[in-house]
Amino acid sequence: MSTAFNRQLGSQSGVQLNPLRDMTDGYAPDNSDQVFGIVMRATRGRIDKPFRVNRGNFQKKLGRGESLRASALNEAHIHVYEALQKGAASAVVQRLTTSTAVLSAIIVTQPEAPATDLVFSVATAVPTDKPFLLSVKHLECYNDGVVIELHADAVMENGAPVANRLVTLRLRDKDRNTLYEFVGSLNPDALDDYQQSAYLPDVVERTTDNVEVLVGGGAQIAATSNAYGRDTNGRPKFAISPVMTYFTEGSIAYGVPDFARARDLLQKTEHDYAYIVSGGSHAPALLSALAQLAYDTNRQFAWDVPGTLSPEAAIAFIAQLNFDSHYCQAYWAPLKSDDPLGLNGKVVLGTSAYNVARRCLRNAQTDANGFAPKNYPIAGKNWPLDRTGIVQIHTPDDDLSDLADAKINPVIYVKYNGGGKYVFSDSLTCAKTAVSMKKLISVADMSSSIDDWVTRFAKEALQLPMEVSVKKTDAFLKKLFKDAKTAKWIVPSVEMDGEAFQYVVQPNALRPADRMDVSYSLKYDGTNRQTFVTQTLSR
Amino acid sequence: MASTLHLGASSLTGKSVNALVEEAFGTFEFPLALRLTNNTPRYLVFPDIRAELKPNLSAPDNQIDVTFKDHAQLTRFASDVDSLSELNQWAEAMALDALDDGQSDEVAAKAPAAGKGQKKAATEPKSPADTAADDAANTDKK
Repeated sequence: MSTAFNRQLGSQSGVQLNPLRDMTDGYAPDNSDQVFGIVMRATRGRIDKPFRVNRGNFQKKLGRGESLRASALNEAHIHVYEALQKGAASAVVQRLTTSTAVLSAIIVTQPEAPATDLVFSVATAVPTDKPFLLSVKHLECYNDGVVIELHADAVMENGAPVANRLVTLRLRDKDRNTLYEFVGSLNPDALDDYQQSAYLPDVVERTTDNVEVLVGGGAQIAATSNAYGRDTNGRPKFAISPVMTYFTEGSIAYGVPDFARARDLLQKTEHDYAYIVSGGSHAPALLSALAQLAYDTNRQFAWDVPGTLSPEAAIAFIAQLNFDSHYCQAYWAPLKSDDPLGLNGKVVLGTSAYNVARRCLRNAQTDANGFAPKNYPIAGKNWPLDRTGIVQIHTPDDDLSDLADAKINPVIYVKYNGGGKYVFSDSLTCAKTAVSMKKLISVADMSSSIDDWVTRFAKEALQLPMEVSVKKTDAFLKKLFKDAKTAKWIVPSVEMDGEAFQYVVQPNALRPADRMDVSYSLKYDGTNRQTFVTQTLSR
Repeated sequence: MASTLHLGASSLTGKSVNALVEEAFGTFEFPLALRLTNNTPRYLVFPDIRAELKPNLSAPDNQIDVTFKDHAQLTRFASDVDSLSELNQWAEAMALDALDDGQSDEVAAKAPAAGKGQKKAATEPKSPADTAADDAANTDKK
C-alpha cells in the first residue's frame, strides 16, 4: 500500500493518522413535521405495528374506502386520502382491530401422485400432520384477500423433466396488481451466485417483513405440476390460487383496551411524525387516548368536534372530554361537501386532517436556517377549505363567542374584501386560558418544535464529559435561538430586557457530577385574533 | 322494560364495560332499542348514536330512546361512557334499559315484565337503506 500513515503507531518511526474529529455537527430539520400519525379502521394494513402510507401507495396500503353509510368509522379513510392530497408527505397509520381479528396462513400443497394441480387453502396454523409445499403469511392483512402464484422452471435430466426446487412466488391483490415477487429455492442449503442463501424464506425475509414464508420438508415442484415448465406458447406456467381470504377483521366493537393498544403502538413506532389526527372519530375513548399520546410525545393533536352537532351540542361534546392542553386543537366544521373519494354523496366531514395537511405543506418551506413559518397558523383568509360543493348546515352567529370560550375553532363561511370563503376562522388550542400564549396554535406548534430539537440535541450530548457537554449545548442553543429570532418565531420581550430569548446551561448544583440543567425562556410572536376598529368623525 | 344496565368508570366498578354489556344484552337481537338515562350532572353528547342527553338535574328529561343497529355500536357506546366516566370519576354515569321489543322471543319470555313503561319504543327495526336515508333514524329525542 502507498498510504503514508498507520492508524495505530507502535514503537517504530512513522506517522499515525487519528480519526477525523467532527466539530461541524448540529441540528437540521427533517421532514417529520410534514407527517402525521393516525389510529383508524382500515380494510388493509398491518395490525401489529404502525406503517407509513403516502400518496403513491395509499390504496395498496389502506385499500378501497367503504361507505360512511356502512359505518361512520370509515370517515378516517377519507381524511387520510384528502390529507395526503393536500400537503402531508405521508401518514403513519396504526390500524384498529379487536381481539377477534384472525390472521391465517395460506397453505400450498401438492397432491400425491399424480402431482398435478396445486391446492391452496387457508389455515390458522401450519399443518404438522401432513406434507405441504409452502405456507405464506401476508402480514398486511388485506380484508379483500390476495392471490398466490407459483412457478418452477423445467429442469431436464437425461432428456427428461425432473422436479425443481427453484420457484417464483408472486402475491397479487384481488385486482391482480402485483404486490411481491420472490425467486428462491425450496432447498434450505441453496446459495445464489454471491454465496448468499437462496432459500426462499431467507430471500423473502431480505426483501420485506410483510410476508413470512415457511417451506415444507422436502418440498419440490413435480414435473407433472401445473406450476411446472412452460405452456404450449412458451410462457411460464403459474399455478394461480383463487382470491384467498386469509384475514378476518372480526368485530369493530372497539373498546378502551383496543384504543390503548393502538395508542401504545403509535407511541413506540420508529416512524416519526409531528402531528396526530383523530380521523373524524367521535369516540371519547380514542380521543382521550390520543390526547394523552400528544402529551407523551410532545406532538400536536388536531381533532374534530362532529360538524353535525349544533353549536350548543358541540360545546357540550368538548366540555365532556375535559381537555385542558395546548397540544389538543379542536375543529368544528358544520359543512356538507362532496366526498373527495366519491364513495358517498354530500357528507359532513371533519377538517382536522385537512388543517394538518396544510400545516405539513407550510412546513415544507423553510428559511436558510431550516425554520418553517410556523408563526403563521393555518387559519384565516390564506388557508381556505377548498372542497367542492360545500353547504353550511349551521350558521353560528351569537354562538361564536361561546365556541371560542369552549376552545372550538369553527370552520365556516367568512366574507372578505375579495369575496367569501370557507376558512378555519380561529386558531385556538384546548388550553383553558384566556390570556396565556398556550391558547395559540402557532405558539404550541413552535414551542413543541423547539423542545423537540433541544431534547434531541441533549440526547446527543449525553455521555460526554460535563464541560464538553455544557459547552456544546450552549453553542447549540445560542445558534438555535438566534435562528428562531431570524425566522421571527420569537420577538423582543420587555420582561427579558428587550431580548427575545434567555437560556442557562450549567451542571446541576446538587449533582454536578452527572446532571446538567438546561433552561430557556422564549417570547414567541402571537397571532392577531381580534381587531378593534374605531372611526372618529372629525370636523 | 326487560333489563337494566348501569355503566360507569370500570376502575371504580371493577368490571369491564364490555363484559357488562355482554352479560346484560348478549342474548338480545339487534337492532336493539334502549332507553338511556344520564345520571351525571353534565350534558352528554354521543354523535355516533346521535344522542344528546340533558343532565340529571333536568330529570325526567335526562332520558332518550336510542336504537343500536348492532352489537358493535353498543359496545363502542359503552366504551365511550366508560372513558368519559374515567375522566370524570363517575361510578354510575348511565343507565341502559331495554325496551320490550328489543329482544328475541325466547329471552322476552323469560324476562320479568317490569319497568315504568312511560314511553313507547323509539323505532322499529329498519332496513339498512332506510337507516342510511334518514339521518336521525336511530333516535327519538324526548
